[in-house]
Amino acid sequence: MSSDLPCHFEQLVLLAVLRLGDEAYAREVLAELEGRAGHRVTRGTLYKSLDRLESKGLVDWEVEEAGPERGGHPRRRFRLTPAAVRVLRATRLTLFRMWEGLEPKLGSQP
Amino acid sequence: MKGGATPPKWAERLLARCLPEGIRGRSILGDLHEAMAWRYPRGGFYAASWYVWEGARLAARYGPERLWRRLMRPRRRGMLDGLRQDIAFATRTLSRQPVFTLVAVMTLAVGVGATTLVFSALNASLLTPLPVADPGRLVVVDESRRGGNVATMGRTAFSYERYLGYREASAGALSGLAGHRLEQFSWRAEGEARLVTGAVVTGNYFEVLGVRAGLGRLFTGALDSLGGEAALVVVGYDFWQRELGGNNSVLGRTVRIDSRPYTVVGVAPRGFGGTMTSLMMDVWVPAATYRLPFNPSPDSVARPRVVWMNFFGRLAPGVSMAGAEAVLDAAAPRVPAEDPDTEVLDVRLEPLTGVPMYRGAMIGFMALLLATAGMVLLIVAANLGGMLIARATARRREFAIRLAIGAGRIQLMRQLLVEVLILFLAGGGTGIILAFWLSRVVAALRLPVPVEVSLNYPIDERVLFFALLVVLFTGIAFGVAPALQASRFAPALALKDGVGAGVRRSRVRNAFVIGQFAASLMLLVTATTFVLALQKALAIDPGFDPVGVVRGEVSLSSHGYDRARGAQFFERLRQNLFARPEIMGVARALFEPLSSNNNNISANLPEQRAAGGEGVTVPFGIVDPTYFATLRTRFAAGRVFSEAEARTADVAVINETMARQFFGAADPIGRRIVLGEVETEVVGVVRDGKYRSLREPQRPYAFLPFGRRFGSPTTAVVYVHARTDEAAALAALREEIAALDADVVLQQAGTATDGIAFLLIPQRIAAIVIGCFGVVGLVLAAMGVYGLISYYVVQRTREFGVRLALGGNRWAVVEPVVMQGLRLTTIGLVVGALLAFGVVRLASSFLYGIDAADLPTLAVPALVLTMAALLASYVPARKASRVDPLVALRTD
Repeated sequence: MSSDLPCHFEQLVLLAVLRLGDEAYAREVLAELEGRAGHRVTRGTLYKSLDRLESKGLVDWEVEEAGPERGGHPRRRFRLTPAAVRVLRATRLTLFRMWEGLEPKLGSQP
Repeated sequence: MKGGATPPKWAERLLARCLPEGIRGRSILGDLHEAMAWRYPRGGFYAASWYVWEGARLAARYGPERLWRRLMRPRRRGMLDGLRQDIAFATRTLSRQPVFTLVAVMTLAVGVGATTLVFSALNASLLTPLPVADPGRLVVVDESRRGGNVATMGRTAFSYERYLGYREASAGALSGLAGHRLEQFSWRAEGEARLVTGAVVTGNYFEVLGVRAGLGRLFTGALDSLGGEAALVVVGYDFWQRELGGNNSVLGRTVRIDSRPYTVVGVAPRGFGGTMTSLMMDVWVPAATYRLPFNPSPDSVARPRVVWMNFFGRLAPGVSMAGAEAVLDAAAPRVPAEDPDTEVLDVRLEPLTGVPMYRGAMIGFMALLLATAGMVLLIVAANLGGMLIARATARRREFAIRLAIGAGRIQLMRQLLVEVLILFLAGGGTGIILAFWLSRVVAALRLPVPVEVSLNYPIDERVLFFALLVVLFTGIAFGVAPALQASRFAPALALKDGVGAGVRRSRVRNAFVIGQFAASLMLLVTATTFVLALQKALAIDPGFDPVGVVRGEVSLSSHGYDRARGAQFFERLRQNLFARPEIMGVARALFEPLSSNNNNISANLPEQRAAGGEGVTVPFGIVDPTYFATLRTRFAAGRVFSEAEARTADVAVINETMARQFFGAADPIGRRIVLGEVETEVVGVVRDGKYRSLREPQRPYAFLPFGRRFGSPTTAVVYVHARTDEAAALAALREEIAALDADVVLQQAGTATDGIAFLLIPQRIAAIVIGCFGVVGLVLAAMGVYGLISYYVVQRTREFGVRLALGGNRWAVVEPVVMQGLRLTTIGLVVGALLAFGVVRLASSFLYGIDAADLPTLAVPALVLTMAALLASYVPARKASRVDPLVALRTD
């Protein structure tokens, strides 16, 4: 199921959603990606990425009714599914394994 | 920006249409709204602009996906089910009106069938390439010469000796050069000899064409090398199946062709019948063996048939037609012409096609037939279009109710389209079946021509594609428009059956009826022109009376007869024929009048010749003294030359035009004319006739006897005057010939009447086909008017009722109805007349005997059409005038 593994950007989105917890609204995810990961993306990219993650079963959302500041439009709060947590752990493990013992080799490089 | 921190309404609405439906899209809208509100403090305009920009980017991202989904969704679910429902509903509706459906399908079938059949003929004769390898690389070789060019089958005729030289010279430009000639042979396997059509070909004929044997082997180029001559024959596949039993035992069999034994070595592949479309050859004979009869004969007048074959070749790989032409041009001088007096100017190459002669005329003829068939189809389709509109109008109430109870306009339109489509597909399908059937009928027809012409016009993929295109085109042009229009009206009006809704629709219908009348007039005028031309041609006096005369060519030279034996043969034939009770008279002529063969001789008065005056060229025939009596050619003055004169003196019979030309009003009998080099006495003058074509102007003509000057022929046309029965006389002629030599067969045999009719075959076909189409068109156009006027009457029933109730007489009702019909007819006739003049002018350019249409030819069809229109509108008008005012007033 390698195709279902999230790509680099999707991992960042998942991590941002996880990090934001109850505050994981689209705007906040966007800010988190920019502020912490230094990753500036357009809204469309983020929405599409979230759609994709949703279709992979890694993200779902709940609806919050919202007031006039949103023109009466509802708001989605994203959260990770248990599967997403497993996937994140697995990718982290893979990365650790790949990194293991590489420090000396990198040492000479800037 | 007005509206404070809210985004521009239009932008939000547009964006909402592009974003996914449901909460997903709405939440994005909310996010954007919120983000804009954040930017608002930096300026309303800035915020709004940001919103529009960001919205546009999102729309670009999500829009295509949503559009795609929207397109796919109804097709996946609703549309297919809906279509099934529509089809079921349409079938039900159509079967509930069987008369309408039947008429629609049958008339369409006639139109589509006729068009398809004509196109299949055009396809087979002009578009289908010859069944040989890479036909596009085959070229015909033509020469232009100074000092006269002899042509056969419309191409330069070459001698066999010249072929051998040319073959060398063309190497490099052509990968192969072959020669061939269409010929009729006598074929005798066992029993009676019979006539077969075939070709005399060079050995490499099949190699150049790239044709492989169906059975056994074919000729090779080695046949043309010295010592390679062998009496071999290849037979055609159909001939083998039909006449030779179709089994392998045919190989190695010996048959007699033109009195000489040949061995059958192979069978041509199935479907290959030579290089002429519509002429399937039975046999192929090698030129190296057969060329003997073509060698110069001692016959001083019968033009020695030295030049007799056409060349065709295959372009060498990588050589273009222009390139090959240049090479041949340069090489031609190395192959001197047969006649030292002529000089070859240049060599031209043209693509080899299945129609070697009259290709332009053939294209024109086919185009004319196709145009007429297309015209019938247009009439049919316009008629059907009119019916559909009428039907849609009659069903307005049904539509209105369906709209009122919630059917969508699109749904209604779709259902109407399905109905139209079913009608057209059913009609088109039946038409194609009809075309299949008709093509079988046509293939079984035998044209009254001396050679067997195949009228096999298969319905292949191209024809089917054409038919489908035709159906689709007419369906869209005449079916969809009414359907679209019918679905576009106000339901409220329709329920009330108001007057306004019908107006525009009847305008389209009027146009359809006008179009039908125009097209029918055009067809009828064209047909009338053709029939008149045919009658005129048949009424032309050919200078003899063909009734009761049968004739055929006896070619003894190809059977190896010399003059003495030929004279003996003909003398015995004459005696034996005179002894038969079926026969009244016998005569020979070297060439038949009205055939393409003719001789010319220079003619001059002795005194003018002495003064060094140039003679004029006149055509002449060489005939027996009995010729005039047998063909009943009438004398204006003088008498026939006698048998004795023919043997001992130089005498001639000339026609009136020649007498006038040379002697003016003076009596020509006993006067002398120098014909060629010989001073000849005029003993008689015959009435003018036709000698080359029925349409030629009066031309001078001389009849000279066989005998002292021209000897006895080895090849002649024999005329027999039947006592009672032409067929019996022809049989007797055949019997007597066979009795003298079992190998000799009468060629081009038939009645003299058929011979004249043969000249008029294209006119006859055109007259019959266009005439039939014209009548069909007339009936359909009358039906169209009837339908339209009936509808008009129904619509105005209430008005008529009022008129009658107020004491108006019946004429007050009949008159406006009939006038309405006449108005449409008149417009149609004017348009049709203009079209007809154009078509006839076009036809006159390639069919002789067709004159430009004049008023009388226009008047009769116009009158017929007007009468038809009057009748078609009078019937409903009368019905309207008989209506009971009380009933009429109660109709809604």
